[in-house]
Amino acid sequence: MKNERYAYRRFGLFFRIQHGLLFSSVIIAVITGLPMKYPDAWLSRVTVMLMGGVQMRAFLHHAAGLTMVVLGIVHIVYYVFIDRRVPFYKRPVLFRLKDLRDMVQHQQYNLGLRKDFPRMGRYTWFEKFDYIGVIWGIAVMALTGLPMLYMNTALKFIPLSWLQALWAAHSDEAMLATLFLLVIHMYHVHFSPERFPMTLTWWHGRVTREDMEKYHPLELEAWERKQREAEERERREAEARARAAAEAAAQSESPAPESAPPSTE
Amino acid sequence: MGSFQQWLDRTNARYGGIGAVITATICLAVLVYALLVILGDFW
Repeated sequence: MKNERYAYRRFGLFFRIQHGLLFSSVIIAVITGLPMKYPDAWLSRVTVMLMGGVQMRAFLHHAAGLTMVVLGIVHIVYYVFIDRRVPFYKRPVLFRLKDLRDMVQHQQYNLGLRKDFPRMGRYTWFEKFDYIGVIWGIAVMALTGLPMLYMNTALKFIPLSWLQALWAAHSDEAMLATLFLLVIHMYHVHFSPERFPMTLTWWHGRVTREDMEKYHPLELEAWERKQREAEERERREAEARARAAAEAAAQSESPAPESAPPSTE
Repeated sequence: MGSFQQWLDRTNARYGGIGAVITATICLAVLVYALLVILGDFW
């Protein structure tokens, strides 16, 4: 590895590809969706013109949405049914009571009411919150967006007023997600003094030791314990091999035992 | 990753504080805007 400072890999290639597809499709969906919510704004007219007209806007919006839906399905199917490394209920991404405690302690720390930063594991409470937001967001956007995309089919089952309600839910949830991303996610990955101008973890999946010590000390301890155990096992195996080799060598050097029966004289 | 990551690290070490300034500016702007809207409703 070129940069020794970033020695701790937190995200593998599959995870990074999912994140790349997610942020690309979300950015496209937001840029192509906002002109629908504010059709009279001058910026909406400019945006639609720049992307090549209303038909292209609709095509890009639907393509981004369908990408998100497929990504959501692949994600859920993979992590619930295919990835069997850890039983589902033991997954580190699920909420535990400890996360609530971490959240309270984190606020206390930020307000200066507590000296120590909460000790968190593989995922911090705010990462889990972010993640649940994405899962929930994609589900809401898919359930409200697909009936609008396939309107003629949907109208066979639901009245038109429902479609209008779905439109309201779709655009309000989109606004909520956009503001959350612009305010909270942008802060954590760009504007935080620890990150400015940006973190490259989304690209190489690695973080520094300082990051691990501050935000994921429990995971760091688990990694180091595993590493120590592996080294210990390797050392014991090497010792056993050396002992066996020494015994074999000693045996081949010593004279062969007498095969004749002892004399009876 | 190499050099771009190192450039980011250097920039962060020198100018990381700008992140705090940007955040504070945005927060302040939102607060002032909200205040103006609320006061505008009263006036």
